[in-house]
Parts: sequence; C-alpha cells; structure tokens
Amino acid sequence: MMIELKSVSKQEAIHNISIKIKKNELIILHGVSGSGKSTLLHIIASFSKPSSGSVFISGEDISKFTDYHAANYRKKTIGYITQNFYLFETLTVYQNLLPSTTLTHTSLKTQEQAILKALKMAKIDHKANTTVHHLSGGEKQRLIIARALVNNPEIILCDEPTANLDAKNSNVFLSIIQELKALGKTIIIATHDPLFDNLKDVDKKFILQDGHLE
Amino acid sequence: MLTKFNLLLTLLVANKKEHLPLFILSTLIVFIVASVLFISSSIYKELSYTLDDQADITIQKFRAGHVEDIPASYLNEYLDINGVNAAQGRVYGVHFYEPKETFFMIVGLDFYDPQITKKLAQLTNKLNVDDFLKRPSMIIGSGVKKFFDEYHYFHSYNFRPPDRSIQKVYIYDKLKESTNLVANDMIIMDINLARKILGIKDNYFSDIILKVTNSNEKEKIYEKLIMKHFDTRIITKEEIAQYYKKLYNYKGGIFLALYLVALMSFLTILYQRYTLTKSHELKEITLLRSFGYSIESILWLKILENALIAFIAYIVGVIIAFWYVFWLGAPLLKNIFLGDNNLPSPLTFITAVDYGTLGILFGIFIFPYLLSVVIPLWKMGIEEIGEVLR
Repeated sequence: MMIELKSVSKQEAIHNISIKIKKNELIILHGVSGSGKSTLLHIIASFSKPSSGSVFISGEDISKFTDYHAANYRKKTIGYITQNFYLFETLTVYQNLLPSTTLTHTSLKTQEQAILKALKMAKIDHKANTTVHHLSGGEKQRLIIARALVNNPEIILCDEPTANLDAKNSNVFLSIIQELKALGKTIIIATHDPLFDNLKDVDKKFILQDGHLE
Repeated sequence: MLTKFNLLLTLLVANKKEHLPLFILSTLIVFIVASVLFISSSIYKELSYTLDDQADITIQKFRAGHVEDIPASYLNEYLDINGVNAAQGRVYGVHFYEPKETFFMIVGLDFYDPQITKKLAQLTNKLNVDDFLKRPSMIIGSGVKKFFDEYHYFHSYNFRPPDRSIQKVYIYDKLKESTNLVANDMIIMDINLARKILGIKDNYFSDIILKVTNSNEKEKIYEKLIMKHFDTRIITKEEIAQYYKKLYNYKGGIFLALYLVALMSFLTILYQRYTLTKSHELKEITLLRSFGYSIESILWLKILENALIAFIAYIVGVIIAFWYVFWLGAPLLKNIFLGDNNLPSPLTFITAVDYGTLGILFGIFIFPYLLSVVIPLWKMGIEEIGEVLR
C-alpha cells in the first residue's frame, strides 16, 4: 500500500511535507519533541486533516474523506501504537481488544481467534484475563501493540513507542517490529529514541525539524 | 449482532463507576414519581367505586340552616313521584370516642333488607343476620378496631346515648381492609340500635336516598321533590361527584408538587451530567474513533448503553414503587392522602395502574436522560482525534 504526501501542511506544526512510502517499508521519522512527528502520523492515520496538501493512500486522497469514510479507512488500514497508555483500565487485556474487533467480526468465535492471535503476536497472551491496571508499563505497551494488530492492518503507525519503556521492554518492542516487517506490513515509527538508529531493516529515515523535512 | 451486544455489556462494565450514581438516583426518582402515580390511580379508582355506590339523589331536612332528622312519612310521598324507582331512609351520625378524643361514624342499616345484607356480606369476613341481631351488635372499621383494642374493648363497647343510659354493643366483625379509605372510622349496626345511640326518634331518618333509573328525568324529579317539601336540601350524585373531584384535585396538587420536585431533581442531575466534561468519556470516544468507529456509530453505541441503564432504572423504580404501594401500603406517602381522615388508617391500596401516565413518565424520563448523554458526546465527538491523543 503506497503512502504519498503532497505538500502537506498543518497550521504551525508541519510545513509543505512531501514524501512517498512504499508497501512493506520500515520508516523512521526522527526529530525532537515538537518537531511535528505526531502531527504527521495523525494526518496519515486520518486522525487530523491537513490545512493544505493531499494524502494519498493507494491512490485515494484520504484528506477529503468524510467522517464515515475516514472511520472505515482507519478500521481496515491503520494500526496505531500510542506513546501514552490509552487503555480501558477496568477491563481485562482480552476485553480491551473487543471494541476494535467488533467492527470487523460478526461471530464471537472468529473475534476470539483474532484477539488470541494478536495477543500472541504481541507476547501478552499469558495475561489475557488480567485487568489492565494490574499490568506493568511494558505489558501495557504490548497490549497497545496487540490492539493495533488485531484487525490485521496494512499500515502500522508508532508514535514514540519506547518513550515509557525500559531497555528490556524496548528490545521486545524492536523484535515485534521486525516480525511485523517480515509479515509485509508498512511501518512508520516516529521517535527521538537513539535505540532506533541501529535498527536493521530500516528502509528510509526522515528527519523533521520545526515542521520541515530535512 | 452478538459481538455488538458483547461490546455493549463490556462498555457497561468498563464504565460502571460512572453509571452507578446516576443509575441509583434515577431509580430513586422513578420510584418516587411512580409511587405517587400508583397511589393517585388507586385512590381515584376507589373513589370511582365509592361514587358508583352512591344514591342518585340524597334528601336532607333543613331548618334554619341546620340539618335535622327527616320524618319517615316523606319516604312514601317520594315513592309516589313518577320516575322514582326506590326510596330508602338512612340513619347515621358521629359518636365521640372520649379516650382518644376522636369521632366514629355510626351507620344504621336495615338488616332485614336482603339487598343490604348481601352487600354487607361482601365487605365482612362473616355475616349471619340471625346471629347478628340476637344481641346488640356492630361491625367496625379497621381504625375503630385498633382504638378499641388499645383500650381493651375486645368484645364489646358501652355507648352513652343522649338519654345518659348505657348501651352495650358487642363487636361482631371487622370490615375488610379494602374498605379503609371510606370505612376506616365506621361502625355499622342495626338501624333501630343506631337510632337509640344517636338519639334519633323512631320513624325518623338522618336522610333519605332515592334511586332514579332514567337520568333524563332527574331534573323534573328534582323540581317535584322541592315542591313536595320546601324544607329539604336535595343533593344529586353529580354534586357528590363534584365534591370528590375537588377533593381529588386538592390531593392532586400535592402530587403535582411531588412530581415537580422529583422531576426538578432529575433535570438538575442531568444538567450536571451535561455540563460535566469528563476527560474519561472524551478519552473513550477518541479511542473508539481511532479504532475506526464513526461519530454516528459511537453515538448509537452510547445511546444504547445509556438507554439500557435508563430502561433498567425505570423498570426497577416502577417495580419497587409497585411493591411499596400495593404490598407495603405506602408508609409515609399515604399520610398525605389521609390528612382529613378522622382516624389513622391502615389503608390497603387497591391495585390500579394507569399505563398511559406510566408511559408519559417513561418518555419524560428517558428522553432528557439520553439527550444529556448524546449532546456532550456529540460535542466531544467533533473534536479532532489527534488533538485528544497528544
């Protein structure tokens, strides 16, 4: 799935960004805090609309989508890994994946299969029945990864995924990313963590500074 | 469908802390309003029954603005009027019960009239006319029974007629509790015994009642009755109905105040909910949108979630109210209705449910409830996901 941004700007956050990302590429968006990395990911995920410019995903301009079509695009195409632990704290690990899978599954059985597969891929299946507020930071991050993968999206967007993780959990995350790359996913990681500097399989690296691509 | 229902339940569990206080308050308010509604319907039904039993025309004798006993000779004169199907004299009056400084209503009935005894038998647990008339006996209302028991008049009570003699009357039976609204303070006895205790001369009645089958003739009969005796006051069933209606409306005013208080509290809670921008809800909606839910589908999901809570709160409130009114007899609330009653009444409300009003209550309850949920959600939903996720 080809991603193409043409002269994309968003108020003061990013200016005139044009990039092309091919299917199955692993991209690193590097930049300090406030450089516009998250804004760029939000625009690709259709969480925000650009002030100007166009965003083409497989030839379709998603910046023109209505709420309904944008929601449909997010459901089928995007897996988003946030830097903050946005989770349903009072629910179990398994239940946290129900809202995402309800959109794509009509039978409880296939829904369960999809959830268990995603939990296994994110190496959190052993905690399926644990309530979220009993999880460690690393486990919460793996749950967020599982949630991003559960609908088998083609594009995985990661916003500062290791910001709240220790070295051990960060390495677990890197191994998962490599597995996803092997599965043919297109992955974009926005980070300022030097850990990603030496990551194998990185296809392109963009550096953002004050909303401009260097 | 199953996955959606599963999600609905999951979200309910996830948000139980947010839902519980509103659920409890809503149940309480529905309970109060529904209780008032049930009591109101029950009383209205009972008053309608009472009205059905009223005579078409009641005649009292007046002198210098005072009611006085009416001669039995009037009875035959009235029976001569065309259109009057039946006429009957009644004997009744109040008895002052000194220990409690309260009044009982003594009603004298003709126990040789099979129609009267048949009707009375339905209101008592046992009635054998021969046994009843063997010695001076009475059938008493629940309130009277309670006071008699309190002062150890378990078997009989000594009345003091105006001639200062002592008249011992035995307690034969108690009236059924379903009659309490009108007969709580009532003592029923033989007509001649009642005359003696109340000081009414033989061949006199307290008033006379007439039965008129053709209601179109009532006006003519009214004129003829006046022509017969100018010293009488004629009260029609319609006038009694008006009196009950006024009484009911007066009570209705109190209910209305209760309704308003309950509804105001409910609306205040909803307004608070509406104005409270909950970061928790904003986070949840944004998360759902980021997964691929459209604003419309989130609204429907939230409407269903809250409608389920509101519906359960409504049903639970109504069921508790039904139990409170018709099983427990509405302690506390019933005192509002019995304020002008002579004796405190162990009233049993007859089951009466006004489904129309319950339906209106449902509408009044559920729509503001859902609006208070939907409007803030819609406002939250139009925010950009990216702004919230930062």
